Amino acid sequence: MAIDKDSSKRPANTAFKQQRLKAWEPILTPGPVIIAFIVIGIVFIPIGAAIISASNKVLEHVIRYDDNPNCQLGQKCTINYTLPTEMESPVYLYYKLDNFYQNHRRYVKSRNDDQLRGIEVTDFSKLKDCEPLITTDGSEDVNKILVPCGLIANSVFNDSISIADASGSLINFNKSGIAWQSDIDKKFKNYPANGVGVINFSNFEDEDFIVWMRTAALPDFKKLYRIYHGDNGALSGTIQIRIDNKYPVASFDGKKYVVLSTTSWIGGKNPFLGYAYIIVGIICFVQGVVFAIKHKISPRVLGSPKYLEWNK
Amino acid sequence: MKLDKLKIRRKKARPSYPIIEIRPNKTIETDVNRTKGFKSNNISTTKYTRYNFIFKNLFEQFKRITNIYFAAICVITLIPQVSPLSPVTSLLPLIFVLVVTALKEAFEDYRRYKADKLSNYTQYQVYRDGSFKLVKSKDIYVGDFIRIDNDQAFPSDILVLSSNLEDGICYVETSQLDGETNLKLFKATKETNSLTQEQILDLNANIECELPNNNLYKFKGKFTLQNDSSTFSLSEKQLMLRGARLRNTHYIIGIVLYCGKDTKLSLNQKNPPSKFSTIETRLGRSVIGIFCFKVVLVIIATILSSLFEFNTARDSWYLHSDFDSLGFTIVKNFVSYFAILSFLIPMSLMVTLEVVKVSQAKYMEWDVNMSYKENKKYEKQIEQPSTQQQQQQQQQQKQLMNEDKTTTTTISNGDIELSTIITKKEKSNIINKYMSVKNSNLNDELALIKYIFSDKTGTLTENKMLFSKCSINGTCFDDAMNLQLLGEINSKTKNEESIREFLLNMSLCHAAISDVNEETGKITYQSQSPDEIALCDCAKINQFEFINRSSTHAQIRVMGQDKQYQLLAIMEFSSDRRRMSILLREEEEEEEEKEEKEEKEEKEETDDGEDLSQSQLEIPIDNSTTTDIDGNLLPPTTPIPTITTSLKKKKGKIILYSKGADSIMMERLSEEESKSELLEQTKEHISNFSREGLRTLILAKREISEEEYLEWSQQYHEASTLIHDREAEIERLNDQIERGFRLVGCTAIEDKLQDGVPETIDYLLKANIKVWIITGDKQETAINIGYSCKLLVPEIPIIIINAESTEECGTQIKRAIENFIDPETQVDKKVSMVINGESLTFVLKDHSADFLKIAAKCHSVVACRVTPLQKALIVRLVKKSTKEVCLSIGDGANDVSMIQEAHIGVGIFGNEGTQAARASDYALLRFRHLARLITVHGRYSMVRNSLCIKYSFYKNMAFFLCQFWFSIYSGWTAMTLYDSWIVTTFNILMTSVPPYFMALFEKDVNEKVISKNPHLFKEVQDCHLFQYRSILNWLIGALYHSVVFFFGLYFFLDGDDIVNQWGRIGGKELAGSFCATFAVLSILLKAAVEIKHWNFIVHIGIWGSMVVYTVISLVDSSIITQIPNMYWVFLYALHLLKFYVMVIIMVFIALVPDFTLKFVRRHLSPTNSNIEQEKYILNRGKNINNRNIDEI
Repeated sequence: MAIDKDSSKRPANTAFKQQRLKAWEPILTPGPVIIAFIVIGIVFIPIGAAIISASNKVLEHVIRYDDNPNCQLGQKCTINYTLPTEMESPVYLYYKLDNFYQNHRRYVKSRNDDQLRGIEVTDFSKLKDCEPLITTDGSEDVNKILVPCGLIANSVFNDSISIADASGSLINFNKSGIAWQSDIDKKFKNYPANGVGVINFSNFEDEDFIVWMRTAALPDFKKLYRIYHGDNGALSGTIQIRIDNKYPVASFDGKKYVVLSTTSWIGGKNPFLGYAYIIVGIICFVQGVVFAIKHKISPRVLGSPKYLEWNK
Repeated sequence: MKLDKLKIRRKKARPSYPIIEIRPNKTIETDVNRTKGFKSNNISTTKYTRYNFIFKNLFEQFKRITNIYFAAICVITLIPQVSPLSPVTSLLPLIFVLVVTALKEAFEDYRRYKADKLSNYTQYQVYRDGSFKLVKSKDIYVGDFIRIDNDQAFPSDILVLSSNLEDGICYVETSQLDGETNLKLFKATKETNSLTQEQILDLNANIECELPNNNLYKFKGKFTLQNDSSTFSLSEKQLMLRGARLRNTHYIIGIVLYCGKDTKLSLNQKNPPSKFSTIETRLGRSVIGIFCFKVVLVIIATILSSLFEFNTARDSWYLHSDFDSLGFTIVKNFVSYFAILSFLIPMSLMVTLEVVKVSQAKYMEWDVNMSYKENKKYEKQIEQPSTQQQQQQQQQQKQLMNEDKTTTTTISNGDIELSTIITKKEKSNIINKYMSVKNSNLNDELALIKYIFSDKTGTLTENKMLFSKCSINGTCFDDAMNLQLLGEINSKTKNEESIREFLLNMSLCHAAISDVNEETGKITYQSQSPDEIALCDCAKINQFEFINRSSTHAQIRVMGQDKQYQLLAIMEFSSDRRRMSILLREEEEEEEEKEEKEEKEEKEETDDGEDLSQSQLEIPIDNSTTTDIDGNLLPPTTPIPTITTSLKKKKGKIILYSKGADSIMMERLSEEESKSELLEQTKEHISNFSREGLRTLILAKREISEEEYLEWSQQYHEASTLIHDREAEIERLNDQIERGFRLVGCTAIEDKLQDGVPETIDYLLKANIKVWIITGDKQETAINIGYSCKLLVPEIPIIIINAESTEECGTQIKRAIENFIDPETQVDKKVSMVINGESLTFVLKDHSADFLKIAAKCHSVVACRVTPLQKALIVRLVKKSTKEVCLSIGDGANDVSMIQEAHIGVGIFGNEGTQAARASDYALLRFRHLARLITVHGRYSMVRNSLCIKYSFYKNMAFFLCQFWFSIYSGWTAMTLYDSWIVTTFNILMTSVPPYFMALFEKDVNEKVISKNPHLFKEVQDCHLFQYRSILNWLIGALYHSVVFFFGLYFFLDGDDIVNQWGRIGGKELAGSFCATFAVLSILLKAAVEIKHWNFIVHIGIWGSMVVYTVISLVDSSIITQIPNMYWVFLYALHLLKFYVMVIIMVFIALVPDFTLKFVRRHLSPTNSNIEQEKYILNRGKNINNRNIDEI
C-alpha cells in the first residue's frame, strides 16, 4: 500500500521538475553591450534629426483672440494676420482653449454614448451618466430629457471662425474630415428629429460636434476646426480671421486662440520628440565609446578571479 | 482557531467520561452507550465542508489585511458619486485573488478529505448482532468489541481483553504516535486474559475511564463485572492507541474506549508553532510603508483638489459644479483618491507569493538530487540469506572444526553469494524517496542561515550500528562479524572460554525483542537501541543466537543447541544509569550441554568465590515493576521467582550479565579486576576504539550466590511494595547488586557516517555557516567524529571547555577569550570549540555572555554529553543573543524541542521514527541534502522571492503613479488616465506572469557554480537582496519610470495634440492608451533586464505578456456597445507613426539608465557570483568532458 503510494508520487526526472530547462544566461559581455550602445546612438541620432527637421518644417501660427478688444464676447470681429512665410496646403485650422478642463472627472463622464448613437434612451438609470444635465429641470420626466444630454454636449464650442484673404474673399476651408473616421462611422448618429425629449439639436453627425465630444487630455488643448486643401494655392501674406465670439471663457481665466498649422509625417510642431531621440542617442553613443575606451585601457576580464572579493 | 478553543473548553466542562456499559447480546438499537454522547469514530481533518466552504473560506480570507483593504476599495468604487473607477476595476482583481486562494484551499482540503475517507472507510472486525462483522472505521462506536489482526492499525483507543499469546500479551508498534519503531509489549489484565472469546463476548460489565486527554503514557480506568461486582483497575498497559499497529500477534480482542476526537492521537495533534520568514516580516512593513506613502499622496491630492473645486471649478460654468460643503468635498476627494491610488499596493502579490512558495516547495520535493534510493526490504533481505548461509556454515563448521583456513574460505564464498542475492533483490525493491516540505513559508529564510545545530546519531551517521571490534581477555578482535570469534572458539585457543562468556553476554544481556518471520523461520531483532541489535546480530553470526524471551525465560541457541535461562530480573537502561543488567538462572536440559556447563562451572566457581567475598555487604534486589518513563513497555521483569522454583532447579547458577558505558562500568568492577593488567589492556583498547570514533561498551558479569539472591529478592519485594520513594529505593538496590563485576570484554560499535557528511560540513563551513554538533557522546568520541566529518580540522586549534564547577568554567572561557580574541585588532584567529554538557549547564546559568563572545567567533563547535533539554537551550541562547537565523537538524524524538526552537527545523527520516521529521519544517532523507537545500533551494528562493516582491512593488508604483501625475493636469479630480479595463487587467493579466515566472525560474547563478563555490552563499546570507534600502531603490526606480511615462507623454503632447499628417487630434483616451502602452512595455522589459535566467517558459511569459497587452487593448478598443469611450482608440494609435516613435523612445528613456547602471555595477564592482557565473559560462562549451561536477 505504502509502497504503491510512493511510486505513484514518484516525480518524473524531467528537465522542468529538476529545474534544468535549457536556458540562456546572459552575463552582459562588454563587447555586445558596447556595440549595442553605439548602434543605438547611430540609429537614434539620425531619427532625432529627422524628427526635428520635420517639426521645424511645420509652420504654426497661434493667434489669441479673446483678449482682442475688438473681439468682445458676443461680437463679430476680424483680425488681420500676416503670415511671414507661405503655408503650403493642406493647412489645418484649429481653435485652441487654455485652462479648460475637458478632462475633469465630472465632465468626462457626463455623456450618454447610446443617445449619441441616435438611440432614444429613456431609462434614467442609463441616463445617469449625463449627470448633472439629464433633464431640463432635473426631474425624471421622459419628455424633459435633454438631447443631447450631459456636460460635454451642452458646452460645445460655438465660436465660428472663417478665414478670408487680404482682399476679403473667403478662403475655402473644408469641414469634412476633421473628426476620426471611426467616430463618424460608428459612434455618432443623428437623433430622430421627433424623438423623445427636449431636442436642442439632433445633428450628432456634425463633425464639429464629434470633435468636441472627443475630450482632450490636458486643460490646454486645440481642436481641429477646418482644413484648407489648397484650392487657392498656398496661403500667404495677410489673411483676415473672422470670428463670431460667442463662447465665454473669461469666468475661468480661459484663453481662446486660432491656430493655423501645416503638418509633417510626425504630426504637428513639436521638437521634444526629436530632442529626446538625439539626447538618448548621444548618451548611448558616448556611453558606448566610454565603455569601449575603458575596455581597451583596462579591460575587466570576464570571470577573472582577481575581481573576487578576497583578492582585492 | 477560536472554534477549536471553544470545543476544548466544552470538553473540559464535561465532568466525567460516561460509564461504558458492556452488555451481552446488545444490538445497535439496544446499546445504551449510543445514548451517552460519545464521539463518533468518524475522523474529519478537513477545514471546510461542502456546504460551508464558500462562507468559511471567505471569512478566512478576509482575515488577511490586504483583502480587507481591497474590499474597502471595492465598496468605495460602488458609490458612483465618489468613485473614480468603475467597480469592475477593483472588484474583478479582488474576485480573482479570492478565487485563486479559494481554489488552492479547496484543493488542499480535498486532499485531506481523501485521506480522511481512506481511514474512515477501512474495515474492521467488530462484534455486531451476534457475530464479528466487517464494519467501516467510521461506524465503530465506544463499547464495541473489536478484533484486530496482525499488522492492522488500531482505529480507535482500544482496551485489550485478550490475545492469542499467553497471558494476553501483544506487541504493538507505535511509530505513528511517538516515532519509535521498536515493538512495545502490552498486556491484558489477568482477569480477562484467560477468557475465551465466547466468555468475553458474554461479559456484563461497566468500564469507567478518565476523561480523554493527550497523555500517551498514562491511562486510568476501572473495570467492574456486573455479575459479581468484582472490580479491577486498568492502566496504560491495556490501552492500545489509535495510530499504533499490532505486530507479532495473531489477533487481539478488545473494547473500544475512546473514539474519533477523543483518541489520544487526535488530542495530540496540534499545529506546530507558526514561523515567519524575515522576508515576510519585511514585506509586511514595506507594504505598510507604501500604504503610508499612498496616504501622503492622497492627502496632498485632497488638499489640492479641494482648492481646485472651490476656485477654478466653481468658476467653470461648463462643469455645473454642485456646491457641496467644504467638509463633504474633502471627504469625497479623499475617498476618491484613496480608491484611485489603491493599486499602488500590489494586490495579487500575496497570492502570487503563496502559490510561488508552494511551487518552490514542489521543486524541492521533486529534486532528484535530494532523493535517496532506499531498499525497503534491504535489512530483511540481508538477514535471510545470511541466516541460511549461517546454517550451511554451521554444518560445514562441524566438519571442519579445526581447520581455520577452510572456514575462512567458506565465509568468503558465502559473502559473495550473499551479495549477489542482495543485488538481485535490490532491483525490484528500490524506492526512491524524496524529501518533503512542511512549511514552505521559510523557503527564503533558508538562505539566511548563520548557525546550524546538528544532532549526531542518525543525523550525521546512519544510525545503523555495526559491530566493529571487540576486546576480549586483552586481545583485540577486528573481524567479529566474519565468524572470527566462532573460529577462535572452534580452534580452542586460550581465549575460548572468555569468548564464550563474551558471546553469552551479548546474546542475553539486552532488551531486544526477536521477531520470527513465519515463512522462513528467520529471526530478526528489534530494539529501542540500535546498539543492542548490533550486539545480538554479532552474537548470532557467531552462533550464539538469541531466540526469544518471555516474561519468565530467555532462550538462546548456542552452536545449534537450545539453551534456556530463567529470567530473574532486568535492570533497564536509562540515560542516568547508562548501563543495563539482566539477572538469569541457568537451566540445563540436554545432557551434552550439562557436561559442557559443568566444565565451565568448575572454572566459574573459582570466580564465584571472589565475587561472593566481594559482595558480602550487598543486598540482593529485583526490579520487576520498573516502568520505563517513556512508556516503553519492555517485557515485564519477573517478580515470580519464588523459593520453590529456585529450589527445584538448584543446580542452575545465578548470573548477572551487565553492559554499560566504560566510565560507569569501570567503577563497578571488582577490586582485583580493577587493578589487573587485563583492565589496563582493555582500557587501552577502549581509548583506541574511541579515537576511531567507535561507540564502546564494557561487558561484565557476576555470579551471585543463592543466598545473596534470596536476600536481594526479598529486599526487592519489600521495596516494590513501597508507596513513597519506590523508584529511588529500587535504584539503590540495583546499584548495590551491580557491583563487583568481572570484566568480560569490551565492544566497539561503528555507527557509520552517512555518505557525504564531511564534504557537506566542509561546504557549509566554507559557506560561512557555523556548524555546531550537539551529541550525547563522550568527549573523545565527539572530537573524533568532529575530525572525521571535517568539522574539526587539525590546522585549527581547539578550545576545550571541560569544567566541573561554575568558577572553573568561567575561567576557562575567559582564558579562551584572552587567547583567541585579540582585543586591539579584533581580528580573530580561526578556532573551534569543544564543550561538554556539564560545562554547558554552568554556561547556560552563569556565563552565557562570555561564552557567546567566544562561541560566535568559533569556526565550529562540538558539544558533547548534552541532554535533549540542553539542545533546545543552546539553540535558544544563540538565537536570542546573536539574532541570527538558526537551523536545527535532527532525527530523533529528543531533537524535536531543538527543531521547534530554531528558526528553521529540519528533520531527518531516520531509524528512530518520523517524529522529528513531523515536527520539522523540512524533512530530509540524508544529512548531505542539507547543503543543497540551503545553498541551492534556499538561495534561489531568496533570489526569486525578493525579486518577485520588489518587482511587484515596482510595477504597480511605476504604472499607477502616473494616475497621480495626471491629476496635476486634470484639476485634481481623480480622473484616471488609463481606461478602466486596462487598470483592471493590469495586475491580473498583463503583468501577473513575469513576477510569477521570476519566482519560479530565476537563478542568479547556475547551480553547478553554487556547488563548486560555497563562498557564494555569503552574498545572500545577510539578506541584502531584501533590505529596506534595496526595496527603496526599486521604488525610486519606479518613481523615475512613472515620471518618464507621464511627463514624456505630457511634453510630447502638450500644445500639440496633432497626431498625424492629417492634422487629427488625439484626445484623452488616446493619450491614456499611449501612456499605458509604453508603461506596460517598459515594465515588462524591466523584468527582462532583471531576469538572468531565460528558459523558454520565461520567454513565453515576458513576450507573451506583451501579446496579452496588445490583445486586451485591441479588444478594449473594438467593443463599441460596452466600452464606447475606448472604441477604436488603440487601433487608431496603431495607425500612427508617432505612436511607434514615441513608444520606442519612451522605453529607451526609461530603461537605458537601468541597464547602464546594471552594466556599470557589474563591471566595476562585480560580485563573486557574477565572476563565478562568468567563469562558468565562458568555460561551459570548452571542456565538458573534463569536468566532473559534484552535485551537492
